[in-house]
Amino acid sequence: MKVFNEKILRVNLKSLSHSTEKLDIAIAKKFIGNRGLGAKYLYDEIDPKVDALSPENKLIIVNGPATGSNMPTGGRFMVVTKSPLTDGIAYANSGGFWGPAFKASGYDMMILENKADKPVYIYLDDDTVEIKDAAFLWGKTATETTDALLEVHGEKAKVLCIGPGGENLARMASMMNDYDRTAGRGGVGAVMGSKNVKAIVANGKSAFEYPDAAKAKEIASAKVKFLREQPGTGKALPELGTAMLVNLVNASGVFPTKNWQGSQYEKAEEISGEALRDRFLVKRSACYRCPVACGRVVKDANGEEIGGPEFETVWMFGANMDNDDLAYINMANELCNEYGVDTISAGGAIACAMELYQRGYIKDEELAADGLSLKWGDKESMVKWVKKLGLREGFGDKLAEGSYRLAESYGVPEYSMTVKKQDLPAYDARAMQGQGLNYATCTRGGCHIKGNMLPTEVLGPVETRLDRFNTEGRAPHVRNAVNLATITDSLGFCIFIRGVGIPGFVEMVNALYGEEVYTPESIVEAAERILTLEKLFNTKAGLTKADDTLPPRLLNEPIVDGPSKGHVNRLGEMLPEYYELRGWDSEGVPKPETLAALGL
Amino acid sequence: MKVEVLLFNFLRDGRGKVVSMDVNEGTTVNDLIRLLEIEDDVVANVLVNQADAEFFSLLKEGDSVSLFPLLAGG
Ligand code: SF4
Repeated sequence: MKVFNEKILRVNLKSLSHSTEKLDIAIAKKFIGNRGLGAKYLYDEIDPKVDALSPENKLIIVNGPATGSNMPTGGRFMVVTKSPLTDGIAYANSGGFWGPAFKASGYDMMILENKADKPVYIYLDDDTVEIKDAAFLWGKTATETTDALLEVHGEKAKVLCIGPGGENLARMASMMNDYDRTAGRGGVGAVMGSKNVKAIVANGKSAFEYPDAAKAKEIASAKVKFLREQPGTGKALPELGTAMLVNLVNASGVFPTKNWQGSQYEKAEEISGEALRDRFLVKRSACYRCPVACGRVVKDANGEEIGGPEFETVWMFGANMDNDDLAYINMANELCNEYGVDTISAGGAIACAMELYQRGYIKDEELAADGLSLKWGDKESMVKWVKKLGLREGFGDKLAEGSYRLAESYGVPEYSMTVKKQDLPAYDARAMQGQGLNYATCTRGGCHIKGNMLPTEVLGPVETRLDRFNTEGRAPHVRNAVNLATITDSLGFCIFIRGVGIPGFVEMVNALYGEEVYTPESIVEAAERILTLEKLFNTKAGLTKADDTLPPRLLNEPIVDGPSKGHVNRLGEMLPEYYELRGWDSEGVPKPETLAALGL
Repeated sequence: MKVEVLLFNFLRDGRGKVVSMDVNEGTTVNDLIRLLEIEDDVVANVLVNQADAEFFSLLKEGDSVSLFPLLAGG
């Protein structure tokens, strides 16, 4: 394998047949790879108006040039499809080891078309593609599925699968790989479930070929050294994992509580990264070639080792549901992984339901058959709701529709804390103006990671960071953060190494190609191209400027507590400039001249 | 005068979670960091009584100071 194998695998699930075709390397370079390349194929191959859960939708799984290489964190694959949650484009990536094994089996991209008549799984190795009966796997959790497939194909195989959540078409279903790594957002697992595909096993063994191995090694070593020397990636993140953010985000008063009714949690220390380490940590874990190792292995109530929660999950099943018991957060996280649902959106549906219950929209009678409550802080019920959501059992069936559709069914969609029907993560954008613009405009709906303003608006000394309450001049900063994430994603790297910056990423990818394929300017242009293509997909899918907004609570209800009290997000002061910078018109539609300039 | 310092992440190593200190009038956040023997450039976020503060902020009796190292991720 190399930067690109120049081979695409196309699987027709209806006829259970497959074919290979050549990847045009010029197109791959133009769209970088991974997220960008997936967007290009999705845009070209489906009508953006199709029902996301119909056979007409396609599921694209794609690698980037760095995937499988010796560069730090170069192990990411991306899943690109139309989202059943947002009805726009979905792209969700994952680390672990599956991406490199997929690339090593000889392909860059897999396009799953149509729908199988009965459950199947796909097996890939160096010279084989097999579509096999998955009846024995259907209904199994992620761990059960992975164990069963490793038993059949050997311990070295890598498994990507869905849990019951994907089978049952929960709109926020995820895809799980290597047991507990997740392509989480946008409901990509529901699309896989709608196609009756339970798992994809990759067992390729070919090694990465470098045109200039010495150069690639030199650059990789320099970047590893850099990441180890940085205080964030070298010390704070390995020490506590992403949950290290709990105390700072809370102290800054941007840590939402009770479905965003409050913004500071008095019991934050109880659920902090520090508490997670002191009480539950067994060891750290790392994805493919990662010197950071932010992953956590924690012990559950029985002393068994399970994957630990990320910051967003700690917040969602902690402060946002008024639960200060980390043991139950660990449990909820584990259940989300096992049933294969996104922790943010599954949790978002439960938190929203808790507020609907608090306000009397959901009544006790409706929950009687489940024997569970929706009271704030009822941790026993909280974890059971995750399972019911994954199984679409009882009231879980409504939760599986996601918070927006749930709240809408009671006539009050304003209690859903979503953008484009996808739940927001843990930062209160009323007091992080740029983060609000990022949330509102992210092409995959409510999300922080694809243009996170945390590093510029909250992290670091007050002397050097942006004033998070100010909107002036904020749009260019958001554009830069979004471009950086688009580049990181499309190359196949983990976003947590964004500190290497665009020049660092360019250095790494050029070393892998063995020639200067990109300059910092040209890779930014490629990012602009990808973003605009994603926006175009959404526009054709029917999303408009009205969807580039925030929940009314963030725009109209000032924060009630903590140091950020009194603030709302002033999106209207930033959005026009952002559109302008992207070359989109005042309605957010890419202008013809922008398309021409970007070669779209 | 007495101040309380809340430490986070690895700044707790060997120091604990909360440190009560008796310091002179005129002490700044920077002075406090030196008194705690924290290396230069390690502290990134400083809050005094829950509000963002600068390294040269003057402390006063009863202040609660939170110190965070530079974090990454999210
Ligand atoms: S920083 Fe964390 S998420 Fe990123 S590659 Fe490393 S272990 Fe995986």
